[in-house]
Amino acid sequence: MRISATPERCFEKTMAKEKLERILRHSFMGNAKNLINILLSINDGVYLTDRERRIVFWNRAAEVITGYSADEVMHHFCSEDILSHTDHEGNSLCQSGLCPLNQSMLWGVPGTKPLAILARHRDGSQLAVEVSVAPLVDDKGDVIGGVEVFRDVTEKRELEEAKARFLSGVTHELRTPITVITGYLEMMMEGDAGEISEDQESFLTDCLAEVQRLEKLINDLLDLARFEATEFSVRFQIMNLAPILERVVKGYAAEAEKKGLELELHAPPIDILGDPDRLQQAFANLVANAIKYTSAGKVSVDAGVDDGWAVVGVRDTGMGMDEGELQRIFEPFYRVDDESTRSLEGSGIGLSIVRRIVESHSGEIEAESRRGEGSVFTIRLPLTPLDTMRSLEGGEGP
Amino acid sequence: MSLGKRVLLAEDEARLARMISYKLEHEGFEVVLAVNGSEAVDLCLNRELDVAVLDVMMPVMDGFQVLRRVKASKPSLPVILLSARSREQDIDYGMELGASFYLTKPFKPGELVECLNRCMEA
Repeated sequence: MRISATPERCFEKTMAKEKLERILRHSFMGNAKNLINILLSINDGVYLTDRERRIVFWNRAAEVITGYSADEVMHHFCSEDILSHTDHEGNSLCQSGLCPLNQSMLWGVPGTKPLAILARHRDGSQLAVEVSVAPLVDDKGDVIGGVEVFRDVTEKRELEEAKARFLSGVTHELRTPITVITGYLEMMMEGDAGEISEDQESFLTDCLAEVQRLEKLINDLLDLARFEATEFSVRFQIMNLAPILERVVKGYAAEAEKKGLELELHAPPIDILGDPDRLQQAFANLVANAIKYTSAGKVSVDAGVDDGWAVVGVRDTGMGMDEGELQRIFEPFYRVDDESTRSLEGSGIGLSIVRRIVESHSGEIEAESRRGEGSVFTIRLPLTPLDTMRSLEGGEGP
Repeated sequence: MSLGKRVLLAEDEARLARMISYKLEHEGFEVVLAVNGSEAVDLCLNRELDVAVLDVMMPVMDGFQVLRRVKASKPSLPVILLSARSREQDIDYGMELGASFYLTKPFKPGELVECLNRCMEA
């Protein structure tokens, strides 16, 4: 039994696309001025390039956001000093081969999910932008250029960072008092502060249980806050998957050993455009789950490249799931719960966080399992986050 | 084993510092207190210590900065980090800087004692 968290694109969309193409053809045939007016009036930066990425159109919002007038940029390569798209470490995307616009033209597929990267204003200041890209084709379907739409999210990003700082402060504020209370309770119960009566011990035991309940609630709330933050705090950079996976596996080595499980990793170097913090979180959640639900055998993590995709599989020999459970595991707060796992900690949002992270990279996640026969979770990430429409479009790539 | 061993405890939260000191003294350690990062660096460099316990989020200088300074001039002094920051990146960063252990809050006083004892054995 397999289940994919990413819904398949359906035929209705193809139908709608045919209709739209007809409408566009009727509206704009012989009157490109209408189309140009539409592009000019859009409040996001929009520019069009030829196949070599020379700018042939630059709208007003692009002028406002970047400080460059259309006259200044026309016929220049967009990869030159005009936009200076970089990842969040300052590495140039134009020169890396992972440029979204170039990838989009190369593969003939759009990337309409906004990609959060950095750009530079004419005055040298840094801009946080979200870009969407698509190839432009001629009557025969050959790629003749590209379009990029970009939105200035600098203010949004600053707000988001302030929120993250606040969250980290709150974490500290909540965890310190709990440490003090738990510490004293444990010390009193162990007799560190003198002998206690039986009644006192039972009262302290209740106190400790309630503090632990509070602690779990706080952890769940923090998970939830982090879960909501995953929506828009993805920071793309050029990164190698292998060291991230090594770190995750190393981090869980002790826990696996404690349960007597083998923990294996096979990962060659794979460069992708992704968010290393978020992806590490996703892989860590999968490995943690695999260890949690496996009592004997092994957990193995395998990575590889498959036709423009990085593929990472996490396989375990654990208790597995039946079909009903498998249908629900990506829902927030759902837990595979039975007698044997009731004591296991967790709020049940680990896998839904993984799904969000994978989707923010335009990737796919799939789970395969059978009760009693272990589970395999497979994450597929496009090397550059473009829409996963390749099969539908019939784009073959280079 | 822990008798007479001297521990530096750098923790700006007074009641948490008191709770930890009580436990450590009960276990036979001698505790030297610092209430911020620069005090911690001073004490680490100028006092005879067997181990240092540093809170990560401290005023003046955070625990990571203290750890970096200490490891630069006294690489043999074992350091244990305490933090409410439980993200993998924070833990990795602390370990890369040379910490022997990274305890995330809330931790049990007994866990800290165990870490201290393992530092003494090493």
